[in-house]
Amino acid sequence: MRYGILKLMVFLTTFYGFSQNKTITGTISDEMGPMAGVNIIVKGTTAGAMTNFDGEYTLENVSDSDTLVYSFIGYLTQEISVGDQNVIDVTMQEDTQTLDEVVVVGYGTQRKSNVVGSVASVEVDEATNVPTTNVSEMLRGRAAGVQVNLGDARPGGSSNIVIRGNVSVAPNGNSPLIIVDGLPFDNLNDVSPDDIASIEILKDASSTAIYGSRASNGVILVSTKRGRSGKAVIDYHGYTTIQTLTKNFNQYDGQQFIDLRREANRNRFTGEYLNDENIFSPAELETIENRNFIDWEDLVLNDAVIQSHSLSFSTGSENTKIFSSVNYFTQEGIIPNSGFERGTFKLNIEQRLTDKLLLSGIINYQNANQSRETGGLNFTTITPLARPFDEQGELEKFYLGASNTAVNPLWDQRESTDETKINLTDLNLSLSYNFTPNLSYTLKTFMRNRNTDRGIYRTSLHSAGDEGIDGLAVLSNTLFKQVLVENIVDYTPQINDDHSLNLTAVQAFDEQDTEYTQLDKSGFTNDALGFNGNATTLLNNIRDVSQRKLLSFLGRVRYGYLDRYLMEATARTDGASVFAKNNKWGFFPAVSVAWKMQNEPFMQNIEAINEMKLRVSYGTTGNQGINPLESLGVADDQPYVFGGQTVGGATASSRLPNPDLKWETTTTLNAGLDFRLFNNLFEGTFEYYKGNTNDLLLDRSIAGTTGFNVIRFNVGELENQGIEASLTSNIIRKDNLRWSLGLVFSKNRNKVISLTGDLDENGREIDITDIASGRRLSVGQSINNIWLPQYDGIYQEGDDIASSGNPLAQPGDVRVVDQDGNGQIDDRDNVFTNTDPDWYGSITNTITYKNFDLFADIYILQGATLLNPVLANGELWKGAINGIRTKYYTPEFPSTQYPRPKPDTHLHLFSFAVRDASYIRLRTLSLGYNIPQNSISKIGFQRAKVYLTGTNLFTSTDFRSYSPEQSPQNGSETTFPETRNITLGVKLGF
Amino acid sequence: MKNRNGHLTSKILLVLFLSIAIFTSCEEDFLEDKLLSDTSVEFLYSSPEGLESAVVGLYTLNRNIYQDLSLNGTIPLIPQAKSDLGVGITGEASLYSRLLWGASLGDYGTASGINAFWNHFYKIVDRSNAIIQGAENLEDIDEARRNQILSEAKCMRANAFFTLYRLFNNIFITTEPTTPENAFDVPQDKSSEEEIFTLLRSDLDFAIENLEYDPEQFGRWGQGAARHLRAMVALWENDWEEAAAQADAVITSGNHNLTPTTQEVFAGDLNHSETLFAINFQRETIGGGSPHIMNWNMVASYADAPGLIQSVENGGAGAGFISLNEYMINLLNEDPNDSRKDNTYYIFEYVYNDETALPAGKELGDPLDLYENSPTDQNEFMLYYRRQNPGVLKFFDSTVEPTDRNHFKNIMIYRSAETYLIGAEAHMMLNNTSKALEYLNAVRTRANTDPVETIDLQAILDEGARELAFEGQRWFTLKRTGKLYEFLLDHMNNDNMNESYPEGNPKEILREYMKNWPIPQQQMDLLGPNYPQNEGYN
Repeated sequence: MRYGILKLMVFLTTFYGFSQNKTITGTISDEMGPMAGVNIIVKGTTAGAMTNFDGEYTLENVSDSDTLVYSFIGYLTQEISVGDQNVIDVTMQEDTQTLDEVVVVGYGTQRKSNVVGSVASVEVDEATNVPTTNVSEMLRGRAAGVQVNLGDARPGGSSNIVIRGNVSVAPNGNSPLIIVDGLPFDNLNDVSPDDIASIEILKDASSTAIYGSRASNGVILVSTKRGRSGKAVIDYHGYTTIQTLTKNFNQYDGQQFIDLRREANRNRFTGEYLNDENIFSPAELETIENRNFIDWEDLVLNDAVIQSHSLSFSTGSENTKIFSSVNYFTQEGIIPNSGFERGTFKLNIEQRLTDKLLLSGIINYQNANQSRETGGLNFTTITPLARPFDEQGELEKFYLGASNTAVNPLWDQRESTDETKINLTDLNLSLSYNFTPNLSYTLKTFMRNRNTDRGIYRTSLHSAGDEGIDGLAVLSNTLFKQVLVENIVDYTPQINDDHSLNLTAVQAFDEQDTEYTQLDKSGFTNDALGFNGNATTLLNNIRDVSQRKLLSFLGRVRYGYLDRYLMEATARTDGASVFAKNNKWGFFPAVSVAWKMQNEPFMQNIEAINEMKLRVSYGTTGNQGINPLESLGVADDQPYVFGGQTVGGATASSRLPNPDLKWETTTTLNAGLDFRLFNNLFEGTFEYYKGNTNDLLLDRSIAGTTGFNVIRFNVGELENQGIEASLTSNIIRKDNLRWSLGLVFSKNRNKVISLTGDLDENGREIDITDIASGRRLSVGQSINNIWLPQYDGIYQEGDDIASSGNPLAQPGDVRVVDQDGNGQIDDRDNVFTNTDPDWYGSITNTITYKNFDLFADIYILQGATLLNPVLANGELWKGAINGIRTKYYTPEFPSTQYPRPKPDTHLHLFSFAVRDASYIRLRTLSLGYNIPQNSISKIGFQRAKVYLTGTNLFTSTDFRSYSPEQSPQNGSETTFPETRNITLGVKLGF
Repeated sequence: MKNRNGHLTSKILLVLFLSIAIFTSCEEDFLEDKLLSDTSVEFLYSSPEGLESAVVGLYTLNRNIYQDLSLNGTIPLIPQAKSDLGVGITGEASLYSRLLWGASLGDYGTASGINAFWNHFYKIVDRSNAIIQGAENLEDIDEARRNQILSEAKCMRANAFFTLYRLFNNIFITTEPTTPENAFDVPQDKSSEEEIFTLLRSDLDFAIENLEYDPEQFGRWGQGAARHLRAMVALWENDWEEAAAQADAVITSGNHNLTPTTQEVFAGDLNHSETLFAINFQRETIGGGSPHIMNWNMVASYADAPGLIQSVENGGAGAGFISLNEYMINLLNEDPNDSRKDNTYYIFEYVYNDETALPAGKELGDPLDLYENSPTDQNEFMLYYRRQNPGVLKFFDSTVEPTDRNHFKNIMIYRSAETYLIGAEAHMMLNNTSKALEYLNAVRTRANTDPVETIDLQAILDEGARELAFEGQRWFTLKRTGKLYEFLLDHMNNDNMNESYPEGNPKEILREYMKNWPIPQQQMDLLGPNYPQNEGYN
């Protein structure tokens, strides 16, 4: 309940009466419901009472002139004169002034005012407004320096989080470490949104160094809800969402597509059109005749529904606290056959065994099903001149005519099953022993089992399972096991009021095992049982077992003087199994200081400043984001057939091992200013950081003459530098009307500082291509870039083509800059385009009026670049496939923006397809109504709220796609589209 | 559920004890990175079994380039597309044949397809080097077993280096396997021809000495294939005597007779006497590889014509991207009885087989003749090329559905018909005309054409075209004999197509230096700063 900065004190009534020695009864509650354990005393006496589990109290021998004092830790103490009242119900208000927010940091918690590092707290209520299981998406725009990139918009999909820029080029090198209730999670989406109590993001080295090894990309700390003392509370949250397609481009309709094809096949020299018979297939000619054109998006996509129900239960006594929840989430995809369904169960228990011994346990159990459409489904570039249905309305297999072997995607869709079942069990037991109030030892154990079972079946009618294959099944199973043990010692010696000291030491080990099995089978006797049926032929079998281990020792000292000067030092050493034999260990120190200026005597009198804290940190973190075995020589299985007989074979894989692989380290300087001004009218943070990553774990191409493609190498240096600002302004703070405006702004610049040091013939450091990501690294450039010739418009009639870079070009062709002016375009004319955004941020508005609240969230991303593969596809400009509709060049209407359709692939379409991908999006608009308590308490509710939320309602961008962050196509299949969502939800408390 | 949790709890306790044990023991073992489901490279090169499995791996690697379906399966057809016998009609294959791709440093075709050849053959070289070094250093191995391993690896290495040399000219050769330590000792200069040919000779001579004519399994290198390759190397060095001797040895061995008719040459799995070396595939079998789509590239899209549907008799699924040009068609038409155009090597007539759509006046079984290869009318000739132009059946898998372009047909690499032509050329150069004529006429008569009585290089090249077109050797043969530039200028594609290409007539783009392929820029960047690019490319 940390967000209630402006909670007001009400219910102060003052009545005077005459009666003596009466009994007062009443109920005490807060906004969550009845409160147990609230102290009530008669002012000036020792007489008093305490509320029971139902929040009720009885106090005898009270006179009208007495004043009752109600108190509870963390709440404002209230004094109420008795007067003539016999029943006094009190609503307790949280003390937001003195109750310094407590934030979760690595291995512990801390008062927010004492935080020395860069820690951002996420407003959980704002974040969980988005109807999804993709928790990463909930963090978008919620904290400065946290960039969320849409990964997969499908139901059950995920997104990628990048904190303060890409610090690494290693395959898993840029994912932040995710810690849920103190335990590392490999997937943030395994947390059910309704269970989240708080999210903190640790950004600088001083706050992350305690996590040493995996922390160079920042840490996301999630805490789930816990039981609390008091009467049992039951909460329900349910919502329904309708998802609809959103996109910002059009395809060619039937007639436009025919015109495009005709234009493309025009003779370049005579301008004559070819006969339709030459350029359309007989089936297409038939469609042109009867004009039954197909709108594939319309045919394939349907509006789809999300439903979520979550029920939680919380209770507690002095010795036992329990929180338990059950969540059910189901989402249909707008592509039929795709969907996601998840049920989760959670139990958090804390049991005080003795005065000194505390046992806490967390159990998570999840069961999820994800289903996918058939592979290769494409409704973006598919021709409208098709005949997917026959006269009877039945699906046609060969929808482009009998002579074309392409199979109707709807047909394959019907004949395809793809189901993934995920079973997750987490078991976490911790035992804490307090030797003295100042010294404690905690043993933390954690075990996770995730079983992912996937079955794909293509029936004997599907294009992949027909023609003698008789059904094709791919069965795969991934078993992921993680074991973590931590020994934690915490010591807080009491020195005196001026000095505060805290010491923490941890020893930890973490092991992760993955076992993968895959079987490909064919020759099914019938399709009825799908992939569960019996097959006659084993096509392929894969077994892949991998393991990674981490052994760590760490320590931390926190010191404070006069509540003005804070200092923190951390050191961690990690040993990781993935590195080469002699380079397993890395050492990661960090130090930080902070100055709470408002506590200086000379600042005390400045009323305008409520808080002003300056902090600086410097430290090192590491990255082990590579796969196991990269320092060892691995052979690929390469069987062969001699005369029809299988013979086992193997060759060294294309990756050359590097026996010297070692840690990649990032050293970060961070400076920040936290402030609260004008009686909390403004509060915010400014930050500057500079992170330098050394010994980049780079997948480097090696000369083809070696017979290998790639070797992982430690080389070079990368720098990320940026500024961040977050500002909250509580513009209106009236009883009935409150308006707060939040701004989050982030800017990061990524730059390669050095590479191998090898020079080319011109004395420049040579560029390196990172194989896995396809990135070309070049000193002075961002690592996220496109390296292509620079687009320079469209050749026009009358241009001096002969002396340009492409002397063979014709008017209407794509023009690129011939940088070296040698009359040909090749690699040497390529230039770098940074794809990272210049800046990104969000604007949030929260307006509360009486029982209504309105939340609006605008997300802005500027200066990003993406290559649009649909525009780059030569087939589009041949009129062979559909795609993004443009006003293309024709001799009669020469375009300066779009090339001329032609029968052959245009040169330099990739340069042409490099497009600005900036956007502004109204991401969330939510209106809620809290039903007044008096009208619902009769039917047993404590709280009730209904809300209506729109997601992705409006987007302004020039990037033509289904999402401004994703290309419309991924390979030959359409990227799963993002959707516009309308959600109706209800929250109830019993 | 309860049981399971109980199990988990006990497991956690176990782990706890283990962890305590671990901290008191050695951390080094705990953090060891282990191969849990992968074979280690060390095993491959340190035992007879490992070496033998690495040799099998070489065959699989060697097959990879044919299975590469990127660029519509064009990559294995680039040498064919660049020959004087084909016409590029459409698709990526035609981009190579019209020199829009693969003829300059900057184009995409060089960065993709040309680069694929460079990497493919160097990979085979490196793995062969490792096997050869491993086998030579291994002490505890039966001598015959060692020699078999060495011979097969040396054939692979020689074949790869020989191909690289003929394609890229400026190549670097080494017999040292790549290690992490030497991977960045990049070549600074090309190897001399002397070095290259010394290695080719010694590798093949060793293999000839140790291989049997009849290999243990079909698809492995045998003595016949090694001798055939040795003869090709000798021709390249103008060592006519060596070439003649090797060809004679193969022909007289009795193991590699020509099949009686041309019909058998490409039938079935190619497991017959004429085959010297073939790449093996097997559908739906572990180790059987993934399909190639070479047939699809080279058979016309005849089913787009009314009255025809895809069928085995018509050559299955075809897109007609590249096929025989007029020059090649005329060579085959020289002798009306030539059996090679009767759906054995090539298909000249696609027949009506769809009763429901028969054009007026046509009967089932009639040849498709709706289109004409008009010299000027693009409307006419485009339809002709796409639907009716003769096609190549040498890669046709008649066992798959005719609508399926994915074929698992074994691919012929070397066969004794070529040995006869090598022998004919070598004996002709040695003025042994009667032997030369005997060999040439053996090929001719087998194809049901009349024997000839005089012989010259043109006659041998013409017969090579008819017999071996699109098997991948034509471009090399022309380059070796110095005829490449002239023949391409005379015959490449067809002139009506050449004049319709929007980017210009390839005959005007063609330069003599294009007899060497460009070393792709991305490879140049990884080689030493002064490594020489082939002349002409900059």
